Amino acid sequence: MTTLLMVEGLCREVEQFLYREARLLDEYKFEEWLSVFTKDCRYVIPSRENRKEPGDGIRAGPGDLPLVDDDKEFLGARIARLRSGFAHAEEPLSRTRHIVSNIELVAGDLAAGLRVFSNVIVFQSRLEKTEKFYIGRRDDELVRLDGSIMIRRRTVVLDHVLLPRSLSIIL
Amino acid sequence: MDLERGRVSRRIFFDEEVYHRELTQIFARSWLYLGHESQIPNAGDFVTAYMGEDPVILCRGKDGSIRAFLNSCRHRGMKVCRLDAGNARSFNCSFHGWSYSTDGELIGVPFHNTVYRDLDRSKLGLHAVPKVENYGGFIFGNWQAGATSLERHLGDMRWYLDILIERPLGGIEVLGGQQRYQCHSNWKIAAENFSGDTYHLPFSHKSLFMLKDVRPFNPVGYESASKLHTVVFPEVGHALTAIGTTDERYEADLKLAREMGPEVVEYVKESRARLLAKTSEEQARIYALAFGNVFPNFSFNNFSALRPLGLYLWLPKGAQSIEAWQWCAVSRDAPASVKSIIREDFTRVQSAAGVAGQDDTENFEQVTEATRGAIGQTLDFVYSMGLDNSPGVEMEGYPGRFYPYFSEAGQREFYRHWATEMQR
Repeated sequence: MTTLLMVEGLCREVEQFLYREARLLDEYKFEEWLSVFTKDCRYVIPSRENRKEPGDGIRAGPGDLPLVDDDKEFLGARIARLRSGFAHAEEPLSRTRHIVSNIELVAGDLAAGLRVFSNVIVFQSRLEKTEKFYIGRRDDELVRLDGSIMIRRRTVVLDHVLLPRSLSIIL
Repeated sequence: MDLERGRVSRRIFFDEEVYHRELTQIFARSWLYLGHESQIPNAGDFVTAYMGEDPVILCRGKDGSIRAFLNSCRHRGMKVCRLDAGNARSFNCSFHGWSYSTDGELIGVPFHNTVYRDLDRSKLGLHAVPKVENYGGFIFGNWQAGATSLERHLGDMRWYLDILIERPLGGIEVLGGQQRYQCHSNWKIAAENFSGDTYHLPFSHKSLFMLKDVRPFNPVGYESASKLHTVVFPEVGHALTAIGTTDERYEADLKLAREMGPEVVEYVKESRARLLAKTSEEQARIYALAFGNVFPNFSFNNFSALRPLGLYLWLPKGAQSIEAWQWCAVSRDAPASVKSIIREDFTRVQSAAGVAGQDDTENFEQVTEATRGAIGQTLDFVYSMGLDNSPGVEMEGYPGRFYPYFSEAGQREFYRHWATEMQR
């Protein structure tokens, strides 16, 4: 029986996809980055509380306040804002470095939806010396459309309860 | 400080001695926002908060009343609650095992009779915040047992806060979760922003206004500035901005509601009807408070019944450091479609990752960087806009003193009150 772990080619393909997707952000190729998201995509970053209950204080339900909950249109609006010259928080653009690791193929397949976990550390360096790290894990749903891997859903669960700074970059 | 000329020394934003004096003169004596009652509905529910740099627990006791305590064991100081929120039957210290009831009483001392001869438990309960008062669901605490009431402190701003409190159908409900972020800035730079800085909106937030064709942005709330006012409350240091005395905001809500569906039209009409029933014609006409600040550091914004009630605390963590804590609230009985667009609106705009919140951070941080040097601190910040309108006008039927929309009167009154408190 073939398990996901044994599908070496698929693992490599997904890893290379995630590394390239991260590089597009670090190279400010935002429009190209957005093109790897499906039309019906959703990009969510829950907020986080220091709690004891199951779910570890991760808040993203309809009655909760998340940090980010974007559809493709709003991701596009964020990028348009970055290009406008008036997004002062990113003028000039921050220097970023997305480190992606611990990539695991969890379940499913690229036809119906492949669940992929990964860890991420994003370094931001802004202006002279404003430097922050944002650390979390991603829970992605990937699909293959017209031969290319795309992201249908991304949830970034940050480990911070107190963010190092307000979030002006795309994680 | 020379408020007659609208000048405030930059020193007060960076000087360590000034900051330490603020901790005793301002934060140890003012009414400070702790949380909303909807966050702690049941007995044993708690949230943790800060009053100045003191960590506190805000807890609903067994008898249903709300109390606050310093989050510190009376024995040797360990925090007795290390969670942001939850429900507790008691607060237990992990150091030597002392335990406290949710009313703050010391109920458990391990080996008490063996190891202690004279330990008066009744005197070693959690150090209570002596005054905790609730205005319309907003809970404030004051470390001074002899402080005047919260109502007195809110002063004439109460009349306006009643709009915020009475309009929501079913009352205010704070959404689950919170957002917290660090910011390299003095707390006053953030608080004064909500106290009257309408001037920064078209510039700092220009990229936001450029997104007006993207949901949830719409014309609601972007009325002509000439019809709006800054309202200040001298003696107490609070201020409100962009207050309208026509029905324009309600009309804009109705227009949007018609596009959304009949249950939303009904919600908007009922919201206004509720305001008329519970408050007054004048208050119903104002309908939404835009943005404002309750001295010292509790800010809020609400532009419409179809937009979020944002709640903000600027917690002092040093002369050049704050933690910004923020929440989003809705009307408990609003239709699901309304709660959904409100949640989306706050998340996209004011969120710590939102398209408005980010640009304010850049300003706060770089103001701090530019003015911390020896020469920078010899200069003033200029708050002279609208000095020629001093002392503002009285509008028949509306408390407070009125200034034009673009004005720095809100900030001047904030610093006037600050100076009074610092010298008291």
